[in-house]
Amino acid sequence: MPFETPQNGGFLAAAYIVAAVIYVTYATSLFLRAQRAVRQAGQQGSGAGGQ
Amino acid sequence: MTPELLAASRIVRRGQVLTILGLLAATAVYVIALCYTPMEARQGLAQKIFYVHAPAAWGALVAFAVVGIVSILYLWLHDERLDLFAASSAEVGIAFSLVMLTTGPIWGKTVWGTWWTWDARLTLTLFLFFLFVGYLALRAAVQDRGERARFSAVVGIMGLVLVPFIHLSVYLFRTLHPQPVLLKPSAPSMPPEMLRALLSGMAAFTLLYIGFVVLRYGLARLDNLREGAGDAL
Amino acid sequence: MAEFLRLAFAIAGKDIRLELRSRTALLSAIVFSALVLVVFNFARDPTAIAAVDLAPSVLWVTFAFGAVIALNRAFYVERENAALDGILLAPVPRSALYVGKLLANLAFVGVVEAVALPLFVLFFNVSIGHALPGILGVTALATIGFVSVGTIFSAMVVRTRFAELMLPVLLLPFMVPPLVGAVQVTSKLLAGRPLSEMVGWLRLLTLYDIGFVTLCILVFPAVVDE
Repeated sequence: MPFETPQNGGFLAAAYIVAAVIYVTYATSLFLRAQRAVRQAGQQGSGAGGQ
Repeated sequence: MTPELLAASRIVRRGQVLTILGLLAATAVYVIALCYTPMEARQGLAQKIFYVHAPAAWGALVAFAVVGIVSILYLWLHDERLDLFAASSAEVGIAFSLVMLTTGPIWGKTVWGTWWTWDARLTLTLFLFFLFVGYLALRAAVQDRGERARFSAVVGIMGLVLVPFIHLSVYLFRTLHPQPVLLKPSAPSMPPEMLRALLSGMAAFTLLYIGFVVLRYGLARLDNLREGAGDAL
Repeated sequence: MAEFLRLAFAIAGKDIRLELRSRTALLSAIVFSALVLVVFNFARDPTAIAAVDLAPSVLWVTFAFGAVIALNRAFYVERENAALDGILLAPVPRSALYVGKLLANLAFVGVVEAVALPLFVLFFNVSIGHALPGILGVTALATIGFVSVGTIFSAMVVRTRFAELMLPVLLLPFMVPPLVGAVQVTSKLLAGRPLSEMVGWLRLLTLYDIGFVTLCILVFPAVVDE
């Protein structure tokens, strides 16, 4: 019985893209939050109020 | 800057570097997987999802084990930093579980024809996801820091003990209800290119996990100092 | 050992007396279970699926949700009476406190199940007489499983925001192994299958109970002590 390799490159792309989006979004979120926190820590250190 | 603030900022810095290295390594794995692995004849190109899916599952499991073990350490040593580290691992674990829970069904659709099956790994990761979410939801709901740390540790430990039971349940369930025949992506003799890609993936995503956790932990230390100083969050 | 049990029973007795006085937890759980059974009846197409095929699932979903309701309310009783703080001041071993609360919660959930089971038999017209001892046994095993974990979690969440939401969110993953085991065993009991087919599940249930009751006793101090 002849076997045809399924054409599912689209699924491959979808999976790789979704994974990349999740990782990059999370990394970005961490970087932004860290940036904000370090900045606020710097302000605290120099006596300026938080908030 | 106080010494604690300095220490926390340094951790953040290190975490940022490790995360960037991890992302670069992950990109390399993408390239390897897409260009330097053979195509599996029976499954087609979609089989390559495996090289992203398996490390994600591994990452989620590692994240979870870390939460559990560090929770035990916290209840033993009462060091607040252990609590912050466990919580960081839980958040990172959610990211890895999400990747696993999205790539899994996409791959599954091509292999099994359905988006979801209650196969052992997918089911277990789903549980890890719910446990991570519950853990973080509990932390959000408790105001007092000491209480939050203690309660989180208890949930972390109980979650750790739950996992073997979930595994056993799924195993018993499956022996009674035979699952659709799996096309094993990794036959006993995996061609060297596939093995290489898989191992690179494991290494790269472990590095990414470490980067994420260290960065998140640094952030937690900073937030903790700010909370302690009386600023409202 | 005898002292331990005496303390545990004393604590359990106090909780049960408190609940009997107000009865709100018990009543809401019972009413809830009855409602769930009614909904299940209308949610099913009687011509398509035989009641007996669905019976184990319906029964256990009812028991599971009834247990969560009962557990949630049980700790409110405690808090409203501010009794917990008093007990904590006394030199009561925390393990006795936990076992006492566990026994009280088992009693609450047991009552809910004792009411839900006959209602279930009535509404769904399922004959369980031949399997009754087995069903009672597996009910006891599974209930100990989820109430042991539920007792710890309800102790934690009672003072948090969104307590009624937090308890199911935390507890449901832990209810799965006892639930799966209970449904499988109940289904085989109702079908008259031999014991050998249930042994694996019964072992799972027993191991779960022993493991989690022990673990909960060990971690309970972290929940109630500073």
